[in-house]
Amino acid sequence: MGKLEIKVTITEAATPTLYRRLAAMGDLRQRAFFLKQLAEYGACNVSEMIGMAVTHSHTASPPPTVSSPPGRNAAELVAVAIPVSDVPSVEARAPAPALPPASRNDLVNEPPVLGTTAPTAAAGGLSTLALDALVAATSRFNG
Amino acid sequence: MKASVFATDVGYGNTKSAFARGAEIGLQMFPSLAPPATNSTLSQHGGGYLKARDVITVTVDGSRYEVGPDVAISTAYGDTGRTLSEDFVTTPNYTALLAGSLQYVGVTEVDRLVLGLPVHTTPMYSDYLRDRYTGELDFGDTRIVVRNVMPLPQPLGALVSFSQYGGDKFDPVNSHLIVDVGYFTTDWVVARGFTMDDSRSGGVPGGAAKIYQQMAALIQKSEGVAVSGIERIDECLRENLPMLFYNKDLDLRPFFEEARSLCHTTVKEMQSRVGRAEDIRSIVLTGGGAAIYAPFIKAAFPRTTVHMMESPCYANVRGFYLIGSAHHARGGNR
Repeated sequence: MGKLEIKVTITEAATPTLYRRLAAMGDLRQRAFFLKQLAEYGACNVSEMIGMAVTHSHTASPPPTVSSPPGRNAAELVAVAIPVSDVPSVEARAPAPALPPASRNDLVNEPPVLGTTAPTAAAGGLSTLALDALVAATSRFNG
Repeated sequence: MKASVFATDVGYGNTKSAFARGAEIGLQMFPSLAPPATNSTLSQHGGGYLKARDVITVTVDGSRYEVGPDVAISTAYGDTGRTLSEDFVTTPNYTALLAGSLQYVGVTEVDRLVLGLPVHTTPMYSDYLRDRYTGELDFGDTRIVVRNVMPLPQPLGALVSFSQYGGDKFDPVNSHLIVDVGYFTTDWVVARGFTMDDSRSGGVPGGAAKIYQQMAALIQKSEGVAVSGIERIDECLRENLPMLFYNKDLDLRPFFEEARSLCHTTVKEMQSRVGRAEDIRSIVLTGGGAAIYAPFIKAAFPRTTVHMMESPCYANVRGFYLIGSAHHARGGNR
C-alpha cells in the first residue's frame, strides 16, 4: 500500500486563506483531514486551475489509512480509496465536465465538527453544489 | 462509542461497514455467514498452539450466532448460516450480521444508520428496516441505540463513491449506469448526477452465486457426488486454486467457463430495462462478481465506455457513508 509522508508548512504569507481556515481548527487530526480532503478534491477536479497536469495516476493515489479500534487487528479493518481503472473502452469520449470549484459557503469552509466521529468532515470532499444535489437526490430514501 | 453516521451493507456475500475513525473513514468487512454459535471453543484448551478464531457471538431473539472474519465457511452438513433469498433482510441472520458489524467497532449509539438494499427490494423492505432497527436494539449482552435508519439502493452508494474517487470520469451532467454484481443479485442504477432514474434501474437474482451454483451442479454431474456448499468454490476461484473434492484436486476453470454462460440471462434482462445507452456517459462495474460479468456487459453495450472499480467491495458502503454524512451535515432528517 503506497504511502507518502510529507511535512508541509502552511504560512499566512503564502496561503492566507488556507492558513486562516486551518488555524481556526483546534483539533490536529481534523486539520490534517481537512487538508487531505481539500487536496484530494483539487487533484480530482480543479488541478488544472493551479497549472498541474492531471493524469490517470491520481486515481491510484494512496488510500487513506485508518487506525484499528482497540482490540482489533489491522487486517480486518482497512481503509481504501476506491480508484477506478478503465476496462478497454470501445469508444473514445470527450472529457467530462469537471465539477465546479467549491464555493465560499461549501462544507469544507464550515466550522469543523470536532470529536472522534466526524461525519461532517468526512463529507468535506463534496462541494456545496454536490452536497446539496446529493441530499436532494437521496432525500426520498430518508423516510 | 457513539457514531453520528454508521453505514453497513449486509450483502449476501460479505458484510461491509464504513464509519468515522478519528479523522478518517474506517472500513470493515467479514463474510455474511452467521452459523449457530458453538458451545465450546477448543482453541482455549490448546495451550496456545491453536489460534482462537476471530468471531463474536451475537444473540438475536434468544438464539446465539457466530459472526466475524474467521467464521467457518464449511460445516458438517453445509449449514454455513448463509441466506440466499429475497427476504434476507427479515431473517435473524441479517440481524446477527448487522449487530456484529456494530459490535466489532464498539458502537453503542448511532444517530444515522445507513443500510443497503438490492434495488428491486428497496420499495418492499425500506419501511421494514426502519421499523425493525430504529430504537434500542437488544443483542443479548449488548444494547445499541439507533435514532434514524436510512435504507438505500446498493448501487447508489457505488455511484457516490465513483463521483468522489472517479475524478474526471464522473460526469455530473449526463447519466451513468452503475452495475453492482453482488453475490446473489445483480443490481443496476441509471442516474443522472445523483438522481436515480427508477424506470431504467432494477435488479434481478443472479450474481456470482448463480455461477457458483451452476458450477456445483456441473461438478456433481461430472463426479457423481453433490457439492455441499458453494463457499469453497468461491474461495478457490478467487485464490485461483484447485478445489479439494474427495481426494481430488479439481481444476475449476472448465466448470467456470461452462457455468459463466448463465451471465447472459442476467445481462439481457438488465439491457432490456436500461434500453439504449446513447445518453449514458459510462458504465461503472462494481461488486464482487463484476469481473465475472464484465465481458458480457461489454458485449451488451459495445459503444459505451466501461469502468471497473478497483476496490469494488467497499464502493457501496463508502458511498452510503458519504450520503449519510451529507444528510447529517445538512440537518438531520431532511
